[in-house]
Amino acid sequence: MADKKSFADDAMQFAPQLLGAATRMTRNRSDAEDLVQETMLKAFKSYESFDEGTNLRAWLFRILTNTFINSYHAKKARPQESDLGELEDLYLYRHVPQLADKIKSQSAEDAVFDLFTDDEVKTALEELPEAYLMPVLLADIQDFSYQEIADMLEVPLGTVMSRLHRGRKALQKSLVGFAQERGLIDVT
Amino acid sequence: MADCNETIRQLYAYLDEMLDEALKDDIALHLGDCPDCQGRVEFEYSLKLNIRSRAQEEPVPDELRERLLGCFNLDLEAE
Repeated sequence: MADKKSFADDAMQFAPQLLGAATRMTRNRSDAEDLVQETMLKAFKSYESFDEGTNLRAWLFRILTNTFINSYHAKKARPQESDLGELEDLYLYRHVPQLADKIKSQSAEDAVFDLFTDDEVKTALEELPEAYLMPVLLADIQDFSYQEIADMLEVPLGTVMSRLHRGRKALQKSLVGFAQERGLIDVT
Repeated sequence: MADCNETIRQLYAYLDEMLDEALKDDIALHLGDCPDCQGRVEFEYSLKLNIRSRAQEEPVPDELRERLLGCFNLDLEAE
């Protein structure tokens, strides 16, 4: 069993990441703060059952994810999976030549990413349907393995993988949409 | 050997290291021969890291930090 003080210190290290994930999930700052607080409370209440051999970060994210799924709903509604239409492979990549042309850059990649503001990236994530948001958030943003995510979401590994892949395509489609709104890409 | 279509289809699974050894080796072989596919893989990988760097954390304001520390302190006092 961990010492209480060091447990608190260890858990607090992950507060900025927990708040990042909570903000993407709830789409609302004050709900996100409450969600992180509830996560910390639950973590502390059950810390005696926490085995020091386990990954504290994954354990905290599991509590966060379960608490969100069971008791929170994003205030602003998210699109449904069926609203997304066809999701093509490599959607953003296919638009790189056009974007690179606009910014007259030879090293297209980094410059293309820099075209998008932090707010656009966050909005693109937050507008994913929840089924896609969770795996994208946990895998690509928080760097958990498929197996860890399958355990957190209590779904099979194959489901994590297929939702993650579709979520990435949806995210790229949304980023391309922002570029179109700004006139960087012609609307086809 | 895998072709471009197969590589694109398996690209995410390849990046996430979820392919079995045989298919992974097959894709790697194609990537060695195909700068286009190599570019696709690198693009997807860089995109992931770029998005992560922008959306992983939110700064925790002092007021929230106090509230969170309170979660731990309350129970300590009740002991």
